[in-house]
Amino acid sequence: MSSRKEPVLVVENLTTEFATPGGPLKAVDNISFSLKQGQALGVVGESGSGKSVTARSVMRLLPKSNVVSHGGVIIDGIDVMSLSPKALRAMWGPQIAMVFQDPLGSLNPVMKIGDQVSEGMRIHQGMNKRNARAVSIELLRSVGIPSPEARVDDYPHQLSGGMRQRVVIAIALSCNPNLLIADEPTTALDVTVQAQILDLLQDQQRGGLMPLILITHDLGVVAGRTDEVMVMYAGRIMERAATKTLFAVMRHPYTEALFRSIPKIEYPSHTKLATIPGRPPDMVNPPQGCKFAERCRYARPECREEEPPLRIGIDPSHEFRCFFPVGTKEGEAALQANIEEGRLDEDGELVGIS
Amino acid sequence: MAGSGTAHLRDSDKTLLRVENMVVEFPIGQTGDVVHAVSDVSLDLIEGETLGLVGESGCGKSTTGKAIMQVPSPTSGSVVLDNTELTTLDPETLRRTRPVLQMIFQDPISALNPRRPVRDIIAEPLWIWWEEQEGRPAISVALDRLGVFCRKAATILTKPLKYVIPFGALAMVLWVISEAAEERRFEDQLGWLDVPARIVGFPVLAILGAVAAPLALLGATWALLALFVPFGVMSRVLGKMSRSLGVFAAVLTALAWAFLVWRTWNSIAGWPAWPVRAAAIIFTVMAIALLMQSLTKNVAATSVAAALATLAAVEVFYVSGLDGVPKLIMLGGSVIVNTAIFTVLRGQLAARREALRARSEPKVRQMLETVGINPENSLDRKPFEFSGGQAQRLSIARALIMDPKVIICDEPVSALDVSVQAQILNLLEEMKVRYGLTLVFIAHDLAVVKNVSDRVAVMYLGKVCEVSDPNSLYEAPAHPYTQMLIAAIPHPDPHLDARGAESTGELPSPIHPPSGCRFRTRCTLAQERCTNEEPIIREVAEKRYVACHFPLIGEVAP
Repeated sequence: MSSRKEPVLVVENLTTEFATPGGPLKAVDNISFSLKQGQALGVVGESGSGKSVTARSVMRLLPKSNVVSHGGVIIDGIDVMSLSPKALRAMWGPQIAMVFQDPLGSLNPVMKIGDQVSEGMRIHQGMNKRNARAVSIELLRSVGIPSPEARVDDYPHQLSGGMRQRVVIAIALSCNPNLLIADEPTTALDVTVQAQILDLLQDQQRGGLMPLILITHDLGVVAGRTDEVMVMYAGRIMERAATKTLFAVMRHPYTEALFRSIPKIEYPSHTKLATIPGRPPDMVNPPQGCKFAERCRYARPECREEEPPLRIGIDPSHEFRCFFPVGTKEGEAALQANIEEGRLDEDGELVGIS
Repeated sequence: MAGSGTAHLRDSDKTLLRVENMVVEFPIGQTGDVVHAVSDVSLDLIEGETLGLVGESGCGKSTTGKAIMQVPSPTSGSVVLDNTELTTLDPETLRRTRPVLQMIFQDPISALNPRRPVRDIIAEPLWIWWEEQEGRPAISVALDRLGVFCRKAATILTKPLKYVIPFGALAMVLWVISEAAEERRFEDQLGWLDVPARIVGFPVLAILGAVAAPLALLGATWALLALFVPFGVMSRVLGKMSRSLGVFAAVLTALAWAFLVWRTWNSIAGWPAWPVRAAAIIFTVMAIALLMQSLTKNVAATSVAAALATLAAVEVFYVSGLDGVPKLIMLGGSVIVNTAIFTVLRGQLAARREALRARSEPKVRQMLETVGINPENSLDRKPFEFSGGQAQRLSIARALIMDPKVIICDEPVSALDVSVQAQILNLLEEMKVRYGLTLVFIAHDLAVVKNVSDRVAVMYLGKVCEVSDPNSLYEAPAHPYTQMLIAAIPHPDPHLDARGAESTGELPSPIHPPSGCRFRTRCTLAQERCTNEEPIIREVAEKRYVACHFPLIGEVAP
């Protein structure tokens, strides 16, 4: 796949805390992962699980005030955490680029899209206006904007949502970044356009051997489009595995719950959907023990006392954080015990929380 | 897709909602072009059924939902709800009919008033309805009527105002200068009691002049900006600012003119005072109208403001005709009377709201419990204190409190996380059974629509492509567009290649839609016939209706 075996991105023990009136809030808690060339990593979780904060910590995009972030982030051998603001600016674009959820919000409304695409190249690569414009047109063409020669002088409001997201991707790709982070790039878009944008990201990633982090709340989006998936909850990695392994053997109850809540087109209509009852925990005063225990169908009393560590499954690349993993003897026993104790109803759903 | 036709409508005596040949068009400015948002759509709903409307952004599914609600009324076509034709109802009767027709919106947080507590948000439809049925205090009815009248007048009067304000302000500046120059001439003619007024008046004039001059400049700048900055950008950036500044300018202009008239009336015997006076009255009324238009939509408050403002204007003109002590007494008296009226009115309104609150609380609590929100700790919270999923539950509670028959759900889960989406979908299903609801469910995700619907209508660029029951629609799509939508659904299965049949291209412009079949520009099966002839909806298999010349199942169109 790649001539270089060493990872492009290494994140080690990354922790990010926000100062809030109630005390420090650990949005990301001791996360480690790495990414090789050409690899696509999916980060999945509900709102508030810390996936976007992880991405922003890696980019160092979080504001300085009220935020403390520590741990190691190394991109291409450069320690990002110790970079000066000036060095960071030089890195954003050529080294690492990001695509955000809301394409209209990430484009400047009073600047032509061509100028926005060429801005990075003119700053980072010292390109002159004419060349940058020519390259911009090619970039816009490569992200699938029809007749880019004419569109290059359009303003963002003249484009549809999908076209705007293509422009944002063109901007992110303009300086040939070594790493691309896409934070919910299709959540604001239609399903048909979503498919187009995901295809586009995949093409760009495979073509340039660029590693990609794809952040989403929808497991359906990462299936078939990423090599590895990391499921996050309450700022922690709950489960991590190669995508195919994960979908074949889900071990963590949270991953299973996310998967079960997707309305699948194969289901006959009026199928009652499985849900994840309750809400994510208060991260200022997090519960003791497993953070998911409150909403978990498998949770036993011991889950509330001690937090399970990330442990390795049969396949060494498969890690999860659970005492009673789905599909194992322990898990089945826990489920059975919970039904007997009345924590679950006869359908196996949690009783008493909505 | 394209298609017109009514072959899919059913003859049933249980039909609750029937939409026939509905067209919604939006004119684009003065260009004469129109956006063909919905073109000849027919739908029907049988009691207790859920109709799913699915399609991409811009296909007209939301516009269809809103047109059923009559916001706005469709350009043509008919919407029959429970044997009542909605499109021809006068606004008042429509308002009385609407409790049975409720709506749930996509973005739950912005669909709820951010400044009001949950107890009021959920209860308000009930309050309005109770007052409607039981009669309201005469004063409140009168105020509403006055409010409606004032708003109508405001709409007419404010149109010329935006051109007039800069010139009005400019005229003010000129007048202040000439006034200063001729100050001496007035002195002899003023009565002794006017001396204090004059002492106060001059600095006021100076301040007004100082404010009016930059406003006039600002007016000119807006005009210049409008010439050079793209309109979309301009309206977004300046929209809010120019509105409040406009109101400010209008108020200042009105005050200035009132003052001018007062001085003129008192002082200049030889001046043609009447034209000036008339102009001043027109300005004042227009300024007040603009002020009212910008006020909240609270009709009662607007009416009170309008009444007070009119009274104040009359006083200025009337009182300024008198001299000496009576003038002072009248001014003072009217201030007291106005304040008293306003205080009493406000007290009455507050008391009434408290009574309504107390009366509606049991029902509100019950509703909140039904949708899975604990009323104990949520009645006094405001919408931003809730998560997206909880806020959507509140929207559902608000829609249900009127005991509606039909609820139009406009992308109710598109802004939510997958796990929360499942909760809301389940809740809607539960509510449907419990309250015997009939639903129109609008979404762009076919998997979601399939899950909740009994019948699905696929829409594309303002037309219905296919109508079918959800299971057979998925198993064997008849329209090429349906097939494309199915292929686009993300599959949580990594062994499938994520790329199915490619969804290519973008929606064409609804201003100049393609001839013939509107989908032909993106359709892999399109032939020449599709360019020339619009397909009409027909039955291609049992209870499968499609508007396509070359459907994926059944015969080629005759």
